[in-house]
Amino acid sequence: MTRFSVFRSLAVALGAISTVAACGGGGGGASEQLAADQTLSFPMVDDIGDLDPAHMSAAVDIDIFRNVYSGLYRFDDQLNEVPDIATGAPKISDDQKTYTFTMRKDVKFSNGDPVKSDDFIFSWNRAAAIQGDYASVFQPVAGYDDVANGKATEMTGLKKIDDYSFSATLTDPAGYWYTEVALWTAWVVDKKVVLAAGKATSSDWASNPATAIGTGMFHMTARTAKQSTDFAPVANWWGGSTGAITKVHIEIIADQKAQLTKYESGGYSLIGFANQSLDPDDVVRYNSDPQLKKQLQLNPSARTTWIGFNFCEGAGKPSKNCAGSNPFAGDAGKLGREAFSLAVDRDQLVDIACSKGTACTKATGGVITKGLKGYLGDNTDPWAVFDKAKAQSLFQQWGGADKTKNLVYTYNTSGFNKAVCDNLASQWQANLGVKMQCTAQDRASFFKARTKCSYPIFRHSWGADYDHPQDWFDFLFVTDAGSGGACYSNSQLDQMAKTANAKPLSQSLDTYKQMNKILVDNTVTGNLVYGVQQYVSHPYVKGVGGNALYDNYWADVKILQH
Amino acid sequence: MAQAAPVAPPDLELTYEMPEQATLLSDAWRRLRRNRIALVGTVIIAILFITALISIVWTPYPVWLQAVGPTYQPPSGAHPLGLDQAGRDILSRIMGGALITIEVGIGSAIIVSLIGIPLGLLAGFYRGKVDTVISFFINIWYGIPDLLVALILVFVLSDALHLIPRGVFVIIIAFSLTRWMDVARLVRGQSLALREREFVEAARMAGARDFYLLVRHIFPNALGPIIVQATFAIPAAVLFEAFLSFLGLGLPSPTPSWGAMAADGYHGMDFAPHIVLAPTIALSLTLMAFNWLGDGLRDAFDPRMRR
Repeated sequence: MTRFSVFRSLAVALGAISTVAACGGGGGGASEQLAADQTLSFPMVDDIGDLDPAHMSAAVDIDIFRNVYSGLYRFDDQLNEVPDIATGAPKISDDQKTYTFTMRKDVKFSNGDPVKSDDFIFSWNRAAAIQGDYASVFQPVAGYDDVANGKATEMTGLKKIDDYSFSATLTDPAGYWYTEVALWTAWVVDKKVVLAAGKATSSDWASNPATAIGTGMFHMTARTAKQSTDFAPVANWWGGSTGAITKVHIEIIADQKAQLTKYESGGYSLIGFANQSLDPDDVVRYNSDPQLKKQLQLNPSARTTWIGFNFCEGAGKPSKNCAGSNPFAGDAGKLGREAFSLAVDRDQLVDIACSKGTACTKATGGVITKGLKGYLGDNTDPWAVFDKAKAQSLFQQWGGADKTKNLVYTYNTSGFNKAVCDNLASQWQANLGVKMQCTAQDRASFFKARTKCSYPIFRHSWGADYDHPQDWFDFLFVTDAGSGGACYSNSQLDQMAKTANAKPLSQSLDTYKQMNKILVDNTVTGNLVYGVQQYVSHPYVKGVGGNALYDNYWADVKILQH
Repeated sequence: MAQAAPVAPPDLELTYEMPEQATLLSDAWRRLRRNRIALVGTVIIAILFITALISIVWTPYPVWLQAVGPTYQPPSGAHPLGLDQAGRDILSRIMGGALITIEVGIGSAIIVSLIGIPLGLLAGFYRGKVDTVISFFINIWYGIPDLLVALILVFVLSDALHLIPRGVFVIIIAFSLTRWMDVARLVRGQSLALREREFVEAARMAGARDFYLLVRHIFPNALGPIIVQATFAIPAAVLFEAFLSFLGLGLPSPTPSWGAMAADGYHGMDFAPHIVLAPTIALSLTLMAFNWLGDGLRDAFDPRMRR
């Protein structure tokens, strides 16, 4: 049982005792009386980026709008995929290429329009045509390329069966696609409303509270860009209860200190929803004060941060993006990668760079974050332990002194990345005698250069989009993976990924774990830390928290009398 | 008749109290010693120099080493100024920061002088078109927002073109290229006045060449104000470096810049004020010391202050 759970239990017990005492011991009484004002308020540093599901990619936006929109499937608190608008799992053909979806008939948009298969087909074709960051969710569907290239407006693979069922035919089997169908890009939008507001690919409707129509528990009621956005529960929501909250108010306050000051004066119910975090020093303060600590909740989040090593061995080798050779590349660089990973005391790193463990925990089970499918298990990464003597020995064997002169570790500018780099520099100098320079780059320049495998050693991290190992391997570790940055190439891994991707996860999970083990055995990544999501909430605000990927639904929150 | 006592002949050889021979510098030093606040500044600067020199060979802990103890630890016997958010010894980093401060301050004063003195001498001595051109550039340079230009210079030289690694040198260059005008204008004024003086005329009549006149007559006589100006350039450069580093645009981590140290500790002021107090006190004392010394030198070199 966590400390928070203990506190919550105690609070409930005390509340019950108080209520009983107040009633003179006679009769019962609710132990948790709701406050008259059920307004859930919280701040964000930046405004919502995209309000149209077809454009969304930021965790901030998705955490908010999963309360407004929904799709055929969703992820439950344990990240299991469960039916939402669908009546059950899709019927998949024997060749694993055709998925038939059956929808509930009682689903309505927040404006009362019934949701039909036409809306889904329209929404999915629209998302493919818009080509947002996650349009590739529909890449496996037949006809996607033509829509993506503007040669067609509809994917040939999507077929309406009747008003409440439709099918999707894939070009090739893709076992992971069922998981992707639960993502935000596959949420349903109201065809009638979108077309009434303009072109199918226009997003103007999404920023107007009157036309931002979804099937979720809440709908947008007011919005002032860069200031605030308000939501309210949908009356007579098709899914049943929308919980106790009667209003959600989100404010944009850029200064985290100012956010906390307002929270402490009762101005906000909580901080942390919508992927927000606290100032690192404030988290330490809260975590070290017994009273304040009761308001702090630290949940694992689906992000891993690691040391990226460049695998380029020459121009075009082993990846088309390679321009030159690097000391950490290939088999020759393996000793160096091992030495650099072993020379990091992750306890120290977590203490210093993660604000005494409040921002992350040490990564000891491979690159896929703890809690997600594909995780190898605690302490299964032999290179994620601190062993100074072995690190020095490997470093000597590698001839590291000559290979690491003028070593520069590059990261995209952020306080956390800087703290990690500073600590790595300190540890590598103390444990290996390597003097390394930390260099910060603006985000755009960093990602552009990293995509071209320009850095010999660099910061890398990945926040899972969904709980499926394919999300990690296809984007990071197969040859020429778009977000790899290391130009790693392993034909065995490529083949295994191809095989695993074609199968349902129940049949491919072991293969993915073997692939993860290959990464560990070859020290492809110097795994450092797994993420932590911070929430701070008043004791009278219940239901705050989330799983590794998402916040709790707003409907799960309630505000007690205080 | 009593004989009158012989009267001693008057001592016609008069004795004069000869004034002590004093050079410009010794005269200034004598007056400076009378200025107590300037002396306090001098003592602080001396301590700064000694600390900086010691830090080259020894600090209690390496300035870059993290986790020498618990993070945010307040001052204790083992760590008199406490530990920062990364568990680094603040005393060691203050000592290392003193060296950075000296390097930036003195380095900038030298470069500023190397640019400003020759231009000022030439403008004042030759007047005419030379003066017009140099003064034009001085005025143009004054019109440009120096801080902005310096920031851009640091970015362009280090991050974009990679001509100079991000470090003390690029800060000195950026500062000097935007702050040389004060010295140039001051020296120009001195040169304009001195070129008309009798001793310059006499040297010219004796056949002295321009270069000789500038180097042997005009420059030495303008030295006092130049020293004062250079002394004021030092705290300006130190503050500039601290400002850049506070913003995260100065020296790269883990270089123990006082500005960066203050920035690191800024957010933890509520519960670990020692992290921000130590570098800001050190920085304030240094700036005050150089300004006190500069004021003292200005008074000391000013003939009107002679008593």
